[in-house]
Amino acid sequence: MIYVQGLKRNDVKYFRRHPRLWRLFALISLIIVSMSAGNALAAVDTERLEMKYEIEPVRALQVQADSGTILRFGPLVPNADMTEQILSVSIATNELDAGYRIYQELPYVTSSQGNAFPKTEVLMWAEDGKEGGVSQIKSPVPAISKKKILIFVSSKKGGPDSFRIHYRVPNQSIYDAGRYLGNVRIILDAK
Amino acid sequence: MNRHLKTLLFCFFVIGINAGNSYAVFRLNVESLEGEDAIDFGRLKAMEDGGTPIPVTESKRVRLNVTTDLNQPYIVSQMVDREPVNTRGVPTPLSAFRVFATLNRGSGTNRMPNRIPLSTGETQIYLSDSAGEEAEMILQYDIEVPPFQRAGNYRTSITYRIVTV
Repeated sequence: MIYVQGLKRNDVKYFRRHPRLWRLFALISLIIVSMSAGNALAAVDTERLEMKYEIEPVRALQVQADSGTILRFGPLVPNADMTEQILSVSIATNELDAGYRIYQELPYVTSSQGNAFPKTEVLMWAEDGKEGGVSQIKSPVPAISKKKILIFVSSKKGGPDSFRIHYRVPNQSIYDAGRYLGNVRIILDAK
Repeated sequence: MNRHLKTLLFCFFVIGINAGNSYAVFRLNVESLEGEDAIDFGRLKAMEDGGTPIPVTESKRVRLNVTTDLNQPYIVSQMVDREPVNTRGVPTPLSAFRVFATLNRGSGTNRMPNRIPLSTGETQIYLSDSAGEEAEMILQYDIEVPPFQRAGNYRTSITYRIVTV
């Protein structure tokens, strides 16, 4: 038995006796419900916009000696106390998964008179990086070499790091007197 | 009258009534003021070539235009899908972005008059007056690149929505 809300039992019986009237009632109800449903739904519209930008990759090497940009040893006296200088190296980079290597070049150290400083008399070693890079010279090796010396390898992921290079002059030889100069180059290369 | 013909006429009648409603206009148009099809901040630096961080800021503007004849109040809102991420999934925090709205047209309420950090989820931009008048507003998006932000191409998307209340 179906009862229409608002209609009494007798009303339903009346409609049953008059099927045409019942159909008319049903049609009118359908129209009203249909129109109401359309109005009741909230109207909506959407639009979508993409936001994008590119961050430039940068990889920079910064080198700082204790006394600025010069590694200054001396005055040196043979067989006197060993002197040590430190280079602080930092790598600033925002590249991802881009490992790198750091080399040193110091082909010669000579005096103004042209005398070469003994190659074995300048030693170097490097510390591990603070962010996972690994020193490749953990024990002292001669720093003066015509070849590039690999001193540091970054972690696989690369990223910023910093470490220190120690330079020592053991003062074990007799040097010709004079003012000795050499250029240390620290080189950053991609792996 | 034929019974089938009656049914057909009735169907046309109902469809006609509802079709009248469906022709009502309620439309949102969104466009970048820089004439691009996106909010494109372009190529940005997170640090100088020497490795020193530099504060880089960039702004882009978007115009929102609401066309309606419904005479019903409505809300304009935005939804940021997620933090912008680069192709390797590294995000830029949403705190690096600010947004505010200025009203060009419309007598409703600007719900975003001051710079606020961008956030995910729905944020109301504008609430129309009770008559649901048409409106136009400009949204300005600012980015301040975080120092040492990882390199790459970053993307996200923003969905703008108008809905009657």
